[in-house]
Amino acid sequence: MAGLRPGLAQSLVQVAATSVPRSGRSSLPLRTNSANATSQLQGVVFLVCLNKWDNASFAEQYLIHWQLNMSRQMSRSLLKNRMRGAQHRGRAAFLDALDVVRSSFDRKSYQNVVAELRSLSNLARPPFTLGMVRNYRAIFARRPLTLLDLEDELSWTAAVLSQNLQLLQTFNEEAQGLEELFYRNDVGAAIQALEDIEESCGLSIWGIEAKIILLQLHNGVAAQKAFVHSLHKQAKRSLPAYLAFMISRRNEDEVSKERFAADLKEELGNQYLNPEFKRYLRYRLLGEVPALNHLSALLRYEGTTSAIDLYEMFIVVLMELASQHMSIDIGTVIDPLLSINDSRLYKLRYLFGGDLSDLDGLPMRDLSADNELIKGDFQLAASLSDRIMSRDISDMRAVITSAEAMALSQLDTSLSVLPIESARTQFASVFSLGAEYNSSLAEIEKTILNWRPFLSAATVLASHDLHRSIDEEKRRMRLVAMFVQCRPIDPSSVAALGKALRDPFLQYCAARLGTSSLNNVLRDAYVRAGIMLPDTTVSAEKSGLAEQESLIVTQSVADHGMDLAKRMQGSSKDPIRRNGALLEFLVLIKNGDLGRALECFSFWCCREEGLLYAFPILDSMGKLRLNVFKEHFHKISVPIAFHLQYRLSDTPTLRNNLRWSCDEFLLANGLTRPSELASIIDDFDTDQVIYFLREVCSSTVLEACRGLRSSQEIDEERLAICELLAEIDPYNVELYVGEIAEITSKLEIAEGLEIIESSRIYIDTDAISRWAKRGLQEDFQRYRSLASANVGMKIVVVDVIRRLINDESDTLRFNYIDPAAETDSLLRKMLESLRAQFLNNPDSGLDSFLSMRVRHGTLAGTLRGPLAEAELITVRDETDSYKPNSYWLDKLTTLSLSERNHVDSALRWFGERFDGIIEELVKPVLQVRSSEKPEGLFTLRLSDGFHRYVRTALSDNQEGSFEDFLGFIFAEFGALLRDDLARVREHLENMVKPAIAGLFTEMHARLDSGVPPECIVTLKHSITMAFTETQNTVDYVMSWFQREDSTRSEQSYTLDQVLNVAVSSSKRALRGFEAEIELRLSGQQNMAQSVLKEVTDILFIGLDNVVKHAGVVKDQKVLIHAEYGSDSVLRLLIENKVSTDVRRAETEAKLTEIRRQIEAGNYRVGARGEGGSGFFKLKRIVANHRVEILDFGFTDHQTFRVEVGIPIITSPTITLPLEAVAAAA
Amino acid sequence: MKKILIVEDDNFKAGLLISFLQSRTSGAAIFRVGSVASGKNSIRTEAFDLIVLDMSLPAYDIDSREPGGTPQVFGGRELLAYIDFLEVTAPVIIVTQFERFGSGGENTDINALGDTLGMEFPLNYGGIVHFSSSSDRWMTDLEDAIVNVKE
Repeated sequence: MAGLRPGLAQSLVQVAATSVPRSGRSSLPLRTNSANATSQLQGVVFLVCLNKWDNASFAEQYLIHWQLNMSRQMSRSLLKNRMRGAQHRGRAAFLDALDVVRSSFDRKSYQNVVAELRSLSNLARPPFTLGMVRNYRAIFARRPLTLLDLEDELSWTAAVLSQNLQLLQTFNEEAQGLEELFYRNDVGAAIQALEDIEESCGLSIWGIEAKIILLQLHNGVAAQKAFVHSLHKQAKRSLPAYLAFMISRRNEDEVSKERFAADLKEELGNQYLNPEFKRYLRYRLLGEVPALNHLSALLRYEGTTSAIDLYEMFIVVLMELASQHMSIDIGTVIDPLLSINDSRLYKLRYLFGGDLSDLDGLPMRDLSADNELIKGDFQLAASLSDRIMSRDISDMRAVITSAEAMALSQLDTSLSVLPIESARTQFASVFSLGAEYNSSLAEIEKTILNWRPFLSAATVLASHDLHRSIDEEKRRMRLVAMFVQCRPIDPSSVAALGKALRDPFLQYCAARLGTSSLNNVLRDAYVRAGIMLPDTTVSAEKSGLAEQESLIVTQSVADHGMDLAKRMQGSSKDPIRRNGALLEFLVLIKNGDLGRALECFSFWCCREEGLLYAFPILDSMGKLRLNVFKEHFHKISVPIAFHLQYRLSDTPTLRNNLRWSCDEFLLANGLTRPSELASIIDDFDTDQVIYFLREVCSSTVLEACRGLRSSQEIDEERLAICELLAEIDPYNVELYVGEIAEITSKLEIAEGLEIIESSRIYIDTDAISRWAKRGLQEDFQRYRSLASANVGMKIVVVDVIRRLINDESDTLRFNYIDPAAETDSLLRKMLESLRAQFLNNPDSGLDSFLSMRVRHGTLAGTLRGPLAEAELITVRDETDSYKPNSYWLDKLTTLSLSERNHVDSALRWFGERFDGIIEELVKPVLQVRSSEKPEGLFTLRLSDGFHRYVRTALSDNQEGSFEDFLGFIFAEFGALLRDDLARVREHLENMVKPAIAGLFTEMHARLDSGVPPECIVTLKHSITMAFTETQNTVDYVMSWFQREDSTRSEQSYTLDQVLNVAVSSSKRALRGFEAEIELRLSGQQNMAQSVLKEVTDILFIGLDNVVKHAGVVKDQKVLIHAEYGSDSVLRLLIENKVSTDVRRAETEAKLTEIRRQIEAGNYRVGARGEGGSGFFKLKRIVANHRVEILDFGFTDHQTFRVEVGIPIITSPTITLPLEAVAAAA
Repeated sequence: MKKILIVEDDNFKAGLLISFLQSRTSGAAIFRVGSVASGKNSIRTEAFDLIVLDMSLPAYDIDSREPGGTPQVFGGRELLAYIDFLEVTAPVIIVTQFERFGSGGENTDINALGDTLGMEFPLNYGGIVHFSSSSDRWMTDLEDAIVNVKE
């Protein structure tokens, strides 16, 4: 029944206060605050009819008709006339009239009012009742209606949807069919089914999303981009086109949700848009459901799209309300729609206060697989799950059961091409907390978003973190979504219900299941719901995970968790052990035992990379002061834990904690440097020692160790660390040899070079690389992908959008730039971002060092130095005037007062002009050029030619990694920077020096003009001397603008340098190898750094072979003959003595087999192993070159030889600065 | 004031600071080091009554054999945090030549930085002074800061 809004009715009552009541029957009782308002209604109506008709609103007039018992036909005529009249006045007037209807009537009347409007034939079409949308332009074709509160908006939405029941029923049925085709991987048929849905139900955003994901999976990125292009042609500059573009991007393989979300938020942040519309876009594109008070806005915007989209949004809003235990009027909101026959509506009805009979028509899940899973028969559970899925593909919970079973039985989780199996594999990977945990988690997050059109799949996948999430609200939302969206009834979703409903619901399930064999599942459900405590006598493998969850749910982790954690860690199943580790950590944190929590964290993360992302370390410890861990400083786990945290969050505090905890650890153990750990290595866990030495003890951390007092000591210590690592971690020995060679060459080349102060012109490429890995790596992969598919486009939101979205207009525009520009603009964006970081990063970029170390650092002091020393310059006082030069005035006692004044004035003028040169001629050019700093000489200009050059380089090297790309770009930036530095030096030489010289000349002239030169001989002599010193100082300042690494990077190596570094590096890594090595060289050629690396690898492998297989313990002799020939090939021959019993038939047979494997191309697999893989590794090195020379075998019974040849690049096309190489490494 | 530590890598500025502090704190022993590493070493091994820090410092003292290691743009801040970590009670005054820190949109002025440091290290932070080689206003500001610290 309908009625006037209280305010309106009250005001009418006031108007009618003097009117005479009139009897009559009202069919529409009012909802007012006045008890007798209804009885006064007729009087009101009478009065209004007589006097106020012309001024009454449409809603009032409509009600008056009704109240006066005028015929239904008359009321309809009024409605029809008003709405048609509005329609004639244009769309805006029509929407205004609709706003009046919505805001005037009570929500209980919406069904009737909407039905009335619907019955008027001309009004039964969009935009009012949505209906069927036939072209994309019709989506978002009008402004949203005015904002109502959530309950009203829900009722209005239900009323509008109830006018589309047939359409929604069809959609519900056909969408389920589409989902099944998708799950069965019949994507081609699914695309056809989608087209059928669009034919029978119209176009929608849901359809756009579904088509993009289907095309992406079926035909790849090019197909889905082609669809988005065609949509653009149909609806240029429209919101559907924009959404399609963004959804298309979200679906690309190389785009992660995290990155996509960050980009979108940045873009939205830059737009002048209604905040409610931003929230709507964030839901549409990121799945972010806003807070309760903004939910109605979602419905309001979705009301302008299609019945399908509005219906799906309606379900989302209801689920959100259910998860927050809000109440709604199910009679108004849900009941009118039940004929759609959607299981979700029945479940929602039950959640909002219906009864268990609402669930009677829905099937129960087949729990046999879950039962086996809980009993511990994981293989059987996996196979039963597969059977259930093949029989009833709609039971998406079976996918989860299957994934859990796969993880627990440690079945092969290699990636599958089938979408649903791929999702299951990712889920299993997340569930097992394995090495792929983080990437799988990211993939699942993305899948959840992209699979939104396939509701149950997306929802069930969203349950991936239920076991770990301690955010109660998030858990509830996921549980409710699972309960509602998973089509059959699932007892294990019981925790979604309010506590009062849980027991009756489980009893209802038990009654319907009707079998005692499923007690395990129900028991598990009771435990998960926190109704029952776990049975700690049951084996961990059987029930550990459910108990873990229940301990979290019931907040009893601290009391019961440790026993369970230990039992789980004793499991033979990796996933159980890892979950046990996680539980132990949670227990320790809950108990406040931070030291042991850190130990637990370090111990496990050094073994299991994936756990780093599963432990909530930053939430629990990220903000604690280092002092809190003082009593644990002797533990190696403390610096390791801070290093692991620093990997997750690159903050100055964590960086300090990492550096200082390493220093404190060394001190607490009586060590001055990390390599001394060798003496007490048995006191520590080996995995942690390796991690500590390899990862924690970087140069940045070593600089904070008090035992290391210079840059050279740092390098030497890192060498010692690599030697130790080569011994205790032989599996990665090649890594350490490479680093040894790099440091050795750096030290050798540094020897004899003039030390250039490194702190003036510096870019912390390590830090920028860390930033780039977070901020650009994905763009790089995406660029690769788009470039190879040769697709892309670019759309930007243009300003006119705001008019519609801010309800000021009904036009909506998105600017469509260029169908082929996206790939190129992506590259430009990457380069510009890197350039911005390189120049302007506030902590690591060039400008920060220029600013801190030059402009505001020593520059002025240094340049003023000679003048200050000669007392020729004074400083400004509080009034900014230069102080009198008392030193010289006191000295020049023979001068008259006027002469003294003249000298004083000249010296003040000199000081002011000299400082002026620094401020006006020097500092302004030592800037990164920008619109604010137009004189800056640091431009690092990226020309079109530069972009083309990078694009070509990337295209030529399609196998190159992101690290290679960074190294390459930093090298190129380094080259551009060298040009800028040269310009700075030129400016100082050609502009500053002459200006200073001119100043000194003028100073002499000024003095001479007022004082006889013979009276100020000493002063003039001082000025002359200071002039020379000042010019020398300018030369010194010029030396700051020379980078040490620029000298080093241009340095090439002679052949003997290469061999010496390679041999000494190999010997360092092969501790105890005391062979006498003879080096013979033929030919001489300068070589690039890349050669040094390859030669080191070759010689290390050769010498390692000698150590392992020669059988000669004493007096081993090795000959290394290096020959650089006219064919530009460097041949390396390694010959060594072997024991007489080495050359045996089986040895020869083994060598023959190795040659055969190499011939067959199997060397890449073999090269990954340890033992007997050296020749494979050599083959892998030579295989990278156009000329492949590799030969090995016995020369005689006492000699073994290996010959390797590689062509030499004598003039490298890319020269990497050492810091860039280190950063890329 | 009995023992004062100056951590400053710029010889010219360090000279001015030493002269000034000598003139204002009669009889005080003034120690000067020029890097984060030597600053930390001094703070660990000696007790000071006042510590004067530059903000930007090299990792190691620069000399004819040492290029300085990784430059620390906010080395002074790290030292202040280190003092806090060691629970050293000495007051710290920052004397810097910058009026603004950072670049682009993320820059912050000297007063804002002072406020942040004051909130982060309330027990040690004693003020921030802008230094200029061509003006002696910094002397007044430093003197005021020392007086405040004494109070």
